[in-house]
Amino acid sequence: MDDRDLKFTRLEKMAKSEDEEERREAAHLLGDLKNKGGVRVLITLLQDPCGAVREAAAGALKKIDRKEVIQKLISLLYSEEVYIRNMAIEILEEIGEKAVEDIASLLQDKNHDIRKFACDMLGNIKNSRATAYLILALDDPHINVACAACEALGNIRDKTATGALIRVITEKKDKWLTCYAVEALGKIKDPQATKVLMKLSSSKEPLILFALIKAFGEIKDIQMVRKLFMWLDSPPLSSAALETLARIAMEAPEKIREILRKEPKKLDVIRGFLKEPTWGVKKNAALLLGVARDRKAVPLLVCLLDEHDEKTREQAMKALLQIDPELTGLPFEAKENARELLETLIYDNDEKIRKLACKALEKLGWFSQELSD
Amino acid sequence: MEIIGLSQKDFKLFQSFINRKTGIFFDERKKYFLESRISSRMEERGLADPQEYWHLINTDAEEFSSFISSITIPETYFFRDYPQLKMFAEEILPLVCNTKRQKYSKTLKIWSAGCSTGEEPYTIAIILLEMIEDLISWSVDILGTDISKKALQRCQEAIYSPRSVKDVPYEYRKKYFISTSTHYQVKPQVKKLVRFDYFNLVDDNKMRVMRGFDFIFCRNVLIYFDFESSKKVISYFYDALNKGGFIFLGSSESISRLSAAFKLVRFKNGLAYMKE
Amino acid sequence: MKKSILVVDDSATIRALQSFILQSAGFEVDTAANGIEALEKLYRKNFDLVVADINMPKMDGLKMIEILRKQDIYRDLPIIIVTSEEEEEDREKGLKAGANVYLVKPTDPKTLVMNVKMLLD
Repeated sequence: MDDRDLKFTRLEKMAKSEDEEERREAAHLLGDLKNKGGVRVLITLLQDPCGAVREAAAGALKKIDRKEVIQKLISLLYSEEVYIRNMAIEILEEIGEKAVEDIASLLQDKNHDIRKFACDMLGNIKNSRATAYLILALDDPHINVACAACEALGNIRDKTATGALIRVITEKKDKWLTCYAVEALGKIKDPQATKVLMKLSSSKEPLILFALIKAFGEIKDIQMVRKLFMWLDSPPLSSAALETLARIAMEAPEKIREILRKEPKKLDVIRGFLKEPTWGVKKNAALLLGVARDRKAVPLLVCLLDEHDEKTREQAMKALLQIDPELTGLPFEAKENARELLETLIYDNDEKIRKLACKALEKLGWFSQELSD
Repeated sequence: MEIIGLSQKDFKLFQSFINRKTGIFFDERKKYFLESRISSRMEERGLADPQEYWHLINTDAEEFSSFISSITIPETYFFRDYPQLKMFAEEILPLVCNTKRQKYSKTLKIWSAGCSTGEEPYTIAIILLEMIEDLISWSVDILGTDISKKALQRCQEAIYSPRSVKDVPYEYRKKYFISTSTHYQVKPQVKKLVRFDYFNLVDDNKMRVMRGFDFIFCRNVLIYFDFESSKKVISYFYDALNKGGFIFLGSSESISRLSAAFKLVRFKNGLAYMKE
Repeated sequence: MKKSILVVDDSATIRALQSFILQSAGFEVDTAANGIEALEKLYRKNFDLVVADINMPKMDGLKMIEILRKQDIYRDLPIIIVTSEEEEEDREKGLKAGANVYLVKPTDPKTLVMNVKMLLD
């Protein structure tokens, strides 16, 4: 017996120990050894009663690049135990690309749950070799599988799926499936989908409109942005529309400014949202007003500097910096609060904000520790 | 001092070097900070070109150490995250100690990983002195480790500014510190419970042999690490703990995205993660 | 005061759609992507009801429900399972683990809201 075989024999024994710490250690080491016998032992350890052992076994299996690992994990998908199925799914997803074809073959399985798992995994692996298989799965007789196929195509973001997804919408299938198809088209961002999505915006079904709002936020065609502004006046869609507009404002502020120039009354509506108690709404409104450089919003934004939620306070300060970089509208009592916020903002993701925050701190006579060192 | 800007290429060089060597990940937002630190070190060593400095930290262990010390920011103070420490002191520590008393095994081994200038391990020592009546009959080992040699020096000195002790309850300040007009020094009875050592959390060989801890504190450290490094560190921490031991991350940090091995336990004053 | 609901599902689409349905019906909604995240949120804040899927990574829905039901404080927390598994034995497993209601995906929004309201009364 050579060195590796000896090692393996020892580890195999260790994997049967009564002590879970030993079994866990065995799992770690089998991951390093990477031999064929080890795969079998690790699959057993994957079903260990102790969570830490299972986790170590999962980590080890991810490291072993062997065909039988994929096959054995697929067989675990049929387990009665929920946690075993879920572990197998997690590991297959981490193995990723190499498992695509094996997983795609599951789309023919008799069991609709297996077919659904296959769609989910392919979507999370995000490899476009799966696109063709998933397009076929759009016609699956079971609604959950078809929806999962849509979701997966959206995650993979392969434009070759656009046509098939548009067909799902025009064939007026189930409303859930339509929602999933809309969302997927949004993620794929193919402008070819604009026409059919704009047509769908006259639907009366709130769920479909909600899905459209999100998709419009991804594609950001100017007609879509205009539509989003219209939906600000229609609860329950208004907070979703506001959130989407805020996201657009971060990525494509010129589109927001273009519409607001033609429809300044919308600013009044957005300012109204600054008083909404629902979490997230104030933050989104503040963001939009900052991008719009709305001077009328300054006193309301100053009030938000006292908000309980940290992100809202930060957003309000960012907006103030954009509208009024010298913070002239800031009353004396708010200055200490402002300082703390500015010291956080010098590390913001946005370089413009970092610069504005630095300048403001300098202007107000405060310097952060790191800057003055 | 003039701050030298780094090209994207050079920034990525330094970024991946730091990440590989320490686990810490400096994202785009911290570019200016990194530039200022590198410029400062370069001025100290009389260099003009970032590439030269890059070569230096790759080959000169001492400069590497100085560099690391300069980029790790000490942001700590005594009794940081008071509610979590309250939960530790009033709910978890008594639980663990009672179990140990029943087993006649009165030892406590605690690790403050990423202890920076030492406030955290000394805080833990104070808590033990306050909460464990018969502490004198216990064998206590509090280990504070960090990757900054400069910070470790400050740990040994145990002298702190008023800012560091702002959250220390008044009675404790009198009982456990010697105060002068400018600073506070930790008293010997606290100091002797704690020892310090240089330790790099992404050094696999060293992490692998850490065992037998009842508590591990690693608060607001992993937030600077990248995801894969954090996962690895947490996995080693699991092995380093005794059964029934607890790990403490910062209150806003979540272990669940890094590991499912720990048991989430609910206490009156907060949540904690335990090795079953 | 608005009642608050925690929606637990690993699919971002489901989380978004169910949140929208429940928010439109007047509830405050927060979400979690798996069982452990759900527990972390539940332990930090009070929720009046949980809507959860079963198949999720890191900790599945059944395990999460089992852990909750073992604790006095969560014994009576209303929990609705919304999952893709429609076999009778799956339903039995779910109810045995401690769920109050077992719904199969895709769930009609009206059905979901009706069950939520029924459990909260």
